[in-house]
Amino acid sequence: VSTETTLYASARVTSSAARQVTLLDLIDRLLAGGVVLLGQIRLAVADIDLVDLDLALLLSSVDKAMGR
Amino acid sequence: MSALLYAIADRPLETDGLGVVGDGPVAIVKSVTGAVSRTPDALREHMQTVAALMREHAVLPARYGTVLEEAEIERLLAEQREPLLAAIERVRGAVEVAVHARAAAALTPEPAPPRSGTEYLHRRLEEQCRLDDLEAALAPLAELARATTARRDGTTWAYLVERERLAEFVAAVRALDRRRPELELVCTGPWPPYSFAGDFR
Repeated sequence: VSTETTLYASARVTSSAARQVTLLDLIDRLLAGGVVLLGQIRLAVADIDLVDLDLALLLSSVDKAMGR
Repeated sequence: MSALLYAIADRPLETDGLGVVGDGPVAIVKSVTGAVSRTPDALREHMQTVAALMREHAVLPARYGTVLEEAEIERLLAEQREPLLAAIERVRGAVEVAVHARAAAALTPEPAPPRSGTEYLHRRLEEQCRLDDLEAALAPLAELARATTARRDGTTWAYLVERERLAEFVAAVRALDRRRPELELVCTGPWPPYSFAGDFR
């Protein structure tokens, strides 16, 4: 198991688009997937609104990193 | 002490520089002070750590940003012992693969806003037909997987695939791509089973 691997992409998809999709998958899994244990717990990422916000922040920073 | 949760495993294990809480199931954690970092690099490090654990153990990956006291983790592990162990069994030996599929036509520019309610409903209906087509087109992939779940806006699916069948699965994606030139497919992974980890609230 590694991270951010494009296993396959249609020839009709540009390689930069495939890379973006792959990075989005990484972020989506970590922020919207994964086991959630909730009791009397403090969560740094507490609910879906915050997750969406973080996703937007991350994507904008990715955009910057890629010079767009 | 506050700890950032990485993953949950069924029994104690050796880790490099990480803490292990509980005696089965166990939580793999790292002590933290202050807010957790939210950069892509921090996310990557988190997933790579979980991916490394997965080479030797069956684990449930944790949602990023779960910070709690070790005592709370111990209590929750004890409270949720059976469902957690069952969830770990469901993902044992398997990895997650993501498949994005859309009609190549989706590349065309955004259509003009609908001029009437009827036009809007027609478009919605067409969209639904396309989604049903996609589900049908992807059926051969679902057959190769232990479990499937749809994610985000009807163009992304997650598959739980036996590690040994990963190459077969990717070959099936390639074959599907050849048969359906009107589709754009992107397949990523193997990921830890984030979409199949369950929710223990």
